[in-house]
Amino acid sequence: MTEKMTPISAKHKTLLALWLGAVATTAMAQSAPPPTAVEVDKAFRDVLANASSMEVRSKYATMLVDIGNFEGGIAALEGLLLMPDAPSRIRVELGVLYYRLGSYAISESYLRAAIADPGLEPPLKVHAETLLRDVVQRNKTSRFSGNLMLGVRSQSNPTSATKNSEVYYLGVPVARGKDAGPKPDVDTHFFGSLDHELDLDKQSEATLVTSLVTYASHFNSVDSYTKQVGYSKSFDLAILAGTTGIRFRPVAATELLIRPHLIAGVILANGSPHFTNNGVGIDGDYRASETVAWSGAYENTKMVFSSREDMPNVALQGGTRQVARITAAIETAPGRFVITELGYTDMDGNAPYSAFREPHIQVSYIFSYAPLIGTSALPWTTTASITATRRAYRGPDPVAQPFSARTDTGWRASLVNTVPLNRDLSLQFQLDYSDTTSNIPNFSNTNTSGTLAVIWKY
Amino acid sequence: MAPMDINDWWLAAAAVAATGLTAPTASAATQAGTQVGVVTSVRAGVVSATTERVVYIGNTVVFGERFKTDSTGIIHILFMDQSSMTLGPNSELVIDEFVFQPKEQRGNIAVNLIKGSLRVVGGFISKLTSPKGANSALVRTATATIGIRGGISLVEAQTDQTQGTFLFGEHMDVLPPDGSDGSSEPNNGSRVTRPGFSVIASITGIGAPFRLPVQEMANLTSRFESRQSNNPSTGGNLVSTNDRPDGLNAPGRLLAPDRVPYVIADNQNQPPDKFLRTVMGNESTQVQS
Repeated sequence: MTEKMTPISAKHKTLLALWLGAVATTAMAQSAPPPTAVEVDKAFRDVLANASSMEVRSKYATMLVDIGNFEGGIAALEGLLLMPDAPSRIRVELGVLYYRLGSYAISESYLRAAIADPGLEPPLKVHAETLLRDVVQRNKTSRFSGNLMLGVRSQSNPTSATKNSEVYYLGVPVARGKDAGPKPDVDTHFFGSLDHELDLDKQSEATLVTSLVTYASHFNSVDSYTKQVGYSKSFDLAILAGTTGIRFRPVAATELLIRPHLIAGVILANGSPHFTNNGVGIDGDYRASETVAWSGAYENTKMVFSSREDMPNVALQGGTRQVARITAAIETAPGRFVITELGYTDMDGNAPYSAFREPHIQVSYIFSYAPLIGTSALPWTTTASITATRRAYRGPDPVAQPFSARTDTGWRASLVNTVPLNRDLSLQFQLDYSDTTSNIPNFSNTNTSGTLAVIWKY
Repeated sequence: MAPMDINDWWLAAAAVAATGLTAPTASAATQAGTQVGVVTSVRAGVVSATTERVVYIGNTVVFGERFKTDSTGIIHILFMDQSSMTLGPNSELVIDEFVFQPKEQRGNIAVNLIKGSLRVVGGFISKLTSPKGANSALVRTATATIGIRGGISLVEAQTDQTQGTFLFGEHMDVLPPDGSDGSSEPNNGSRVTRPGFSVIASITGIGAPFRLPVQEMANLTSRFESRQSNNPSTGGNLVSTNDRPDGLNAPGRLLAPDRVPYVIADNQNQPPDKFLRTVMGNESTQVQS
């Protein structure tokens, strides 16, 4: 029933495979092994025996940093500030080491002192100023952050039209309408996020975290918002969504943070209300170590669809949606992360054919690296992800196939490359390929998309 | 006494090195005269009240030793457990207790800060967890006992009050002068777990932790430094990022201790596709695209 893979999708899969191969090769590149405990101990004894030697002390500090003992590095370097011939960069070193420990107030004081020192070499001054921006933000009790994105996306099948030439209607196989197949389209979209954190100055790190996102898209094929039954083009979307809740450490001096929160969202399609999604959730993360973190979330929301003449019976698509997700991430090497996410969605829809359960798994590999072109010292970042899903509906869709419930198996591959132009602006290139295979041929589809976007982070 | 210049320091260090100073490898016991550390930096104006000598870089530090600094003096001591202390100007400190068994990497460290300012960076001793509980480096003052667990703190002691500022680590306990050994959570003091927060203990009691403004933090740390040197650097990579490969060693968010949760969050909400799937319900439909 399904078609063979098209040459285009085969080409994309080959490209993805090549990218992933390059990623794996780069990931296997080994850096110099860290010093052994014996070597560090010897360096420590060298300091005891020759305390006035800047070289000996720098070597000792370097070894401590190499094994991740940043406070030891601080102990070794802070004493140098007493020496009249201490290089200006020592304060930058200390500002960076305190930053790496998460002690941002003292990091800020060292970085400011370093920047004010006329002896600091210009490249280091630039680095110190870059880090200081982040440090200052972290030291504020009221913090705003976010980003704005303007992008252009080309898709081979934005409406998720079936790839099969034969579909079911009232349980009977019929030939798919000529105009009902995939049609490519291009959209321009805007994404904006505004996050605010209000630190309540508690030892539990209680912080009121509020996040707002807005999204709007316009497809080239959409020339008017007239509402017609049987509308087959893409819909222009407008989304406003937000969450708010207090994030805190439930157990003192642990790395667990949780945030119960409220969720609200409103979605418009072709300029008219489509649905609202409101509810509650809780999310959290746990840092097992500096390089390993767990994250989890649970959301329970009510989706309420608006009555629209161009979407008959759309209210039946609504219902209560529960989403649970657990994510593990590990930094396998500096700037290289593997993220595995397991999720489960239980949609208690208003009709059997809109109710489903769906587990999913996603594996992502993220790596940052020195810029391939240009003089910027800001690293480029590439993210490759693969997602697999299996969605089982509770009951059959009477219009398509009234005799059997729908089951979809989907997978998606994604490749995102982010290229910073400067500290504020970056370019993002994104390639996506998705493939959904359903037991009801009406719902089997593929889509390939490419996105080019400019992102401003503030 | 005229302040020493750098050449004096080098000569003093060379003289000490020539005496064949070696670090003890066996356990150090708390007996008077036992070496517990080495002076690794000093700014002129420091005397050892115990030995009545001027302190130079490279001098041995012994158990029970009392240091006094004048208005210009600063001393930085590296202890055998790799912890360090910096005593600021107009200060007075006694090494009350130091036991360190290198093989087991355990022991006790306690000092009495009679007055002035002290920066403590914990070494092996303050990171030990024994069956009795977590160990701490103790700083005793006239109005408080401060237990520093595995981290870095600043302590400022005056006659009638003590301020402890927590910079990094597991926690810092501020207890009354007759406080416990720091092995359990205080019930009559204050525990600080957030870097950048301070507690003030006075003769009337111990206050709650509060955020120390950055400027006040700068004022505190400046007490442990010489004036800025205006001594140009020689270039090369930073020591503090030496463990990162080229291209990723520029200071930035990829060095932050919370970078992994940030990466997770960024990855989950990446627009447009992942964001849309999250908001629209993981559904591939005509509307979603």
